[in-house]
Amino acid sequence: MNPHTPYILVAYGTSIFIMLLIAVLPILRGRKLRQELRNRASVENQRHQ
Amino acid sequence: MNPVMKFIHKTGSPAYFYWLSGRMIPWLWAIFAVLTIWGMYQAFFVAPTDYQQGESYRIIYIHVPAAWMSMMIYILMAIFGAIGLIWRIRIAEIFAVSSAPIGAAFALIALITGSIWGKPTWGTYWVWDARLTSQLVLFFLYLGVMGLHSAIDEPRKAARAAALLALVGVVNLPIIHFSVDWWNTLHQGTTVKIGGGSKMPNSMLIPLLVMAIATKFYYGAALLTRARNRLLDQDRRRGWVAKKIKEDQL
Repeated sequence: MNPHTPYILVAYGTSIFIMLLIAVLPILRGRKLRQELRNRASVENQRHQ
Repeated sequence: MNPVMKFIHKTGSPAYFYWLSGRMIPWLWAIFAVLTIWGMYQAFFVAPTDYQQGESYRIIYIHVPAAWMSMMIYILMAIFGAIGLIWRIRIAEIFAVSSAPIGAAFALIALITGSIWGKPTWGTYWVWDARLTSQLVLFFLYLGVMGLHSAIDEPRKAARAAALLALVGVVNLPIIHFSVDWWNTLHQGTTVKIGGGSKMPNSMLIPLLVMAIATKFYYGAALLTRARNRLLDQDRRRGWVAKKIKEDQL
């Protein structure tokens, strides 16, 4: 193995991890928020009926 | 009203922005993925080994785009902040605040990957060099903007305070950029200049530029995703949100 390979693996691994975190967290948060809003609307709808 | 102003006003409407960004995000992610796969393939399998640094130089294909992005996002964050402060356009305020975590992530990636590259190249992970220190200050500025924003409960007041801090922090950007010219630093000088040519051969330069473009699409997709969430959260009791839920388009 090339002596520089571990450095390259750690650098890219850390970068991919940070980029995934920044991309995925808001997607999950958005899904949760939309579900919460839909649930609330459906509860309010049932109350009106 | 001219077409540009008409577009700005239309995009400023929360319902229209929510719809448009929802259409754009999958495309931005897709372009980012294609460019990244292509850029990484070129970086690892096409670009030759550097005769001085060996294989470790391949870290630049993430380090340099991340460093460029950390500065570009800061400029955009300050511009959005200024637009929010001057014209009180809420989408601009939301863009400014949503940019901060993405910029902070790129600043952190630039610091970490630079540090890892430094060990085999310079023999040390860190030196208090002008370029490294000013980049660390940029990371702290991002954290400051995020911290200040989350410390104030009222969203619009928080966005204005964060925008002011972002504008003050712009002074750090020329320091980062010119640090390698103003001081005698361990960090190498500018290799790629806009309009000024490059000291790298094309086989090394092209993957770098492809990765730099890919990260722009990443920023676009991540920014719109965050901005949509923030808008929805702020407007949860507004009519347009109720209408979207009713039409099952949320």
